[in-house]
Amino acid sequence: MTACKKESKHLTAMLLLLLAATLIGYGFEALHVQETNIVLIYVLAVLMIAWYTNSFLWGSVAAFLGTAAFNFFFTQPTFTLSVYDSDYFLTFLCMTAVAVFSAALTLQAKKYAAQVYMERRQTEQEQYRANLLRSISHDLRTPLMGIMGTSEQIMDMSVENDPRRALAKDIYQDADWLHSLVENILGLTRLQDGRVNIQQSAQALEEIIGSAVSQIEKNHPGYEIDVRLPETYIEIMADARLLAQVFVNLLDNAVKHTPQDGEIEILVNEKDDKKVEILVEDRGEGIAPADLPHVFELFYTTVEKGADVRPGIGLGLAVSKLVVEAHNGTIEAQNRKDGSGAVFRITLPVL
Amino acid sequence: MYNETILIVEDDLQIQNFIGYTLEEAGYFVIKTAKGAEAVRLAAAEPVDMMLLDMGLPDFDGIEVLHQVREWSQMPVIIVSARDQDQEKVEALDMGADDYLTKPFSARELLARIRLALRHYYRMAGNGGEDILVNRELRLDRNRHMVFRGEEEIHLTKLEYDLLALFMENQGKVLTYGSILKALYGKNYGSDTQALRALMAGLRRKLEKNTAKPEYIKTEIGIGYRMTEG
Repeated sequence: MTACKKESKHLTAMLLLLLAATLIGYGFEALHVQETNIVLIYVLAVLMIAWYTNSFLWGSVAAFLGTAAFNFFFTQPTFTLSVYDSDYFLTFLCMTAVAVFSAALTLQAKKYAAQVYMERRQTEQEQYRANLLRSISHDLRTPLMGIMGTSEQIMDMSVENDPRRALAKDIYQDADWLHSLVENILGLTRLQDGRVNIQQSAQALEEIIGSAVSQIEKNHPGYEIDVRLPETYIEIMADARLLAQVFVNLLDNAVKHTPQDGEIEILVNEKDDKKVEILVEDRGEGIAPADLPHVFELFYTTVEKGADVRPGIGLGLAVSKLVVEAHNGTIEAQNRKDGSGAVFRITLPVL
Repeated sequence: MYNETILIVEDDLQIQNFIGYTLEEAGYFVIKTAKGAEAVRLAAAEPVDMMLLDMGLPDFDGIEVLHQVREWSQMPVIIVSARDQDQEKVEALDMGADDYLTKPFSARELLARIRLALRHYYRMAGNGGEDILVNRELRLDRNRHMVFRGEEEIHLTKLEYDLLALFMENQGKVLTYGSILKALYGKNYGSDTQALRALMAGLRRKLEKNTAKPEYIKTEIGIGYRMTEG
């Protein structure tokens, strides 16, 4: 609705309500009801106008017009704006003041009620969302755990060259892939919420990196990750688990693209401007130039058809970027200058 | 050889089967239940040596089972939970659970944790009051208040020494921030995990070759620390 149309609607409403007040006033007069009650009817009309138009301006205009109408229709001499009894001036003044003041109060009460309502709805929605996430994650993870555990069991039960072993391994790997998908989607949902539920506290950077490295080395025996940290103790504000997941994602990528004896390293450098730079470097094939500008986009997958690497669905890096940015940091991707391989550079503010 | 009896408390039947089978294969006796109330009853009525406890049970919380069982038994308890339940894990560990596993975990990991918990339990039961505590190259002499790595003495501050002694006494066990602070500072330990992290960083710089890849004391993010066994 255009503003003009809206205002003319408000004008009509105001005139109708004042007209109604005047008619009721005539009714009161015919019944010889006290004059003060007519004043109250006008004040009531002003209140309704303020409520309906939701505007203090219209409320105030109505208050003045109401007073004028009372003067015009009901005080001697009627149908003029003059009065015989000068006491009426005080009545008009009070009437206008009461009407204006009530209009203001009405508006405030209305605004407050709307705010309370919105807040309550918001908390309800957040609660609902949190519960939903919780139950989805439980309902997805539990059967995946069953599938992974059982297929692993079958692998362990069958001898090396039994085809069943290979089949069970396929089941296991698919379930594992699905599991990391679930984790990333859950992480994404939580982060995209806007009012991200991340709880930052002072954390030791070496512990966050260390736990990611040990998780990767545990899951990928045969890979060794070289970590080089400065001697100083570096503290950052972080949600430790979320930030560790970023390094897990980056290292996971690195492992996927690097042959077993290829080097994967994490380098930490302190910068002068209260920042720390963390480089995650691998010796894989690097990132295709066509992919470079897009790697952090949600659901972006490579244009190059890699031979034996299972394509991702474009979540890990997108989630990582969201997490890093929630920590007031930056993340960028590039290729190594000294031979093949990718470098991910993260900067984070230090305490 | 004595075969321990392990009580599995898990409401998902597939996972219950998988765990049960894994443990039976490994030579343990297994009792299974999906209900918390039943778990408490079984722990008391049957010759149970240790318990695997899922935190999300249909009838009542895993934490409640732990609370009731801990009133009369010190049997090792390993908590099984989903990934984003740090608070529950910490609560359970502080209440006397020995370790935790996060779903999904592998059979290998499960068995390793069970052996670890049982070993720790037997060592504690055998009154671990040795004067010299050893972990690989590391030796802590309680009489002389000295720490050695190989032949070389490591000079620690009083707090660093206490911290290391605590971990040497509890090798393999997860210690929560809260329980460490309590052990170091006594009753009014507060919750200054930031100071604890800094203290740990100092200790690691003296013990470990690479602080981001510690060999002795590992970080359990969001929970606390664990000293690995040699």
